[in-house]
Amino acid sequence: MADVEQKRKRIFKTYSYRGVQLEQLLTMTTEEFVKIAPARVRRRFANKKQTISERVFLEKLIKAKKECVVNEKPVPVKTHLRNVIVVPEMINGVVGVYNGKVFNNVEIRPEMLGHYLGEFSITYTPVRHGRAGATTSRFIPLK
Amino acid sequence: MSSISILGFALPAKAQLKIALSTKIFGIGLHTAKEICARSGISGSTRVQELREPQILTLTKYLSTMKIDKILKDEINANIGKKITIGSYQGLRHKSGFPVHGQRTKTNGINAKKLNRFPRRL
Repeated sequence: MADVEQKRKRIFKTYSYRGVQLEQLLTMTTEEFVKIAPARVRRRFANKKQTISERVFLEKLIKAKKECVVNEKPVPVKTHLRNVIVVPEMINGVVGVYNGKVFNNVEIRPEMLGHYLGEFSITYTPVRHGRAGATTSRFIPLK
Repeated sequence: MSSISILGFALPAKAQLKIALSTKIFGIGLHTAKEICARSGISGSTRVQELREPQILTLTKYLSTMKIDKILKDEINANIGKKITIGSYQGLRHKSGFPVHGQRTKTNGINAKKLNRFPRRL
């Protein structure tokens, strides 16, 4: 049994982004991150300056992360900015991403690096076929 | 149909090496097959049954360093799985078996319905 447990522990993977370990990622600045990021991210940071609203959002998020109680999630930071790229400073923060109607809370994980915030907040209700329609003749038991 | 086993892949004995490699091994196309032949110093038009023992050894050695078949399939599934676990839009589309890159779904999208299941059958 002990052998099995040891093996399981060994299999436990540490996350690395493009060959950089997680511990190093957490202390990374945005500029350093952009250097190892894929072309899409590099182009974005090269061509578009950070807007005031983006900066304010990032500052709020970092502040929320600092102020949070140990072993508890930080306060969600609401934002309409769906086109912001996830950078290392945001990791472990909670963002309320607006989908046009409500703010969906998203916990930023290291795997999300390089993705846009909008990807984690769906803007439509996925179609569901054949559920409890009045027109269907199927018998639906009442609960 | 007799076949010769190289690294566990059954290659048809009478086929040309480059064709055999590209048709029987997942992750190797004709281009890569030609490259493998060139790098291991074997003519691509050699029949598989005519391969000599040292040639098979060099081929096996080269193929075992490559990202093919099971390793490649696992990686593809892991990449899709990552998108699903982080809850991104692309992951959602994979999970529900719809086109991922913004194609229409009113018509078409039949290939996506067939393929975009998770775990993906390859």
